[in-house]
Amino acid sequence: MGILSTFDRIVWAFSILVTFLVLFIIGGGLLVSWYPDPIDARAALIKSYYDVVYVAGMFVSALFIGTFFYLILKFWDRTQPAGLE
Amino acid sequence: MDTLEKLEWATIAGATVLLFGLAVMALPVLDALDNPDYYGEPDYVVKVESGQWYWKFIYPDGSESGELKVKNGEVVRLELESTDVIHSFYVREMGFKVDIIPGKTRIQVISAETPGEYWIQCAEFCGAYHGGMRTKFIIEE
Repeated sequence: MGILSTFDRIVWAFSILVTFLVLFIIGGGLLVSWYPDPIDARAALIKSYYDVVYVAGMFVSALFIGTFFYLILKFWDRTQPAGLE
Repeated sequence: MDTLEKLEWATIAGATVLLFGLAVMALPVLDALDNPDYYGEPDYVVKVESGQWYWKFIYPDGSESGELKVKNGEVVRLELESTDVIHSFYVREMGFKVDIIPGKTRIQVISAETPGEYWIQCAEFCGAYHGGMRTKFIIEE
């Protein structure tokens, strides 16, 4: 299984999924668009592409940030004091 | 191949597929932006003069206006020129900007499909009153 167990992989995927959902929600979800309503066919085409880039960028961000959260979860040394006691 | 190597290859393949997919999807959009024949033959030509800090629209009959007025359904070819510095023709709802370079004529064909009033805003910093360099774009019924 290598360095990652099945459980590790599930937690990693879950971290990425949750991060994506959080980014999607705080970004306005489907209710808010960063671009105004298009007034012609070309503007609609441009906006549809902007939306794809927006979601793809969000996915890549979730991949990085979610992986970061996962690494914190996995390698956090819980035997050490957190300094908050 | 160990897990790290697999992960490395998966990252490379994933990024390649994502970027290639976005590039392919961008092609029709780039064509729509750069192709002056995208909307077919224009009904008429409007010359657009920009300067610090005004817009002037010159219609085929020679009349001039500070606002761009077109009728719904018309395809209009804009020939944009600048008299001084770089300006940029920007209508948010149309999703594009055209930089207007002094000494050059930029062409952009627009199609009026949704009646209403919109803003034309200069989108290239052009001096002290750049923020006020805007006017109405009116699509009449």
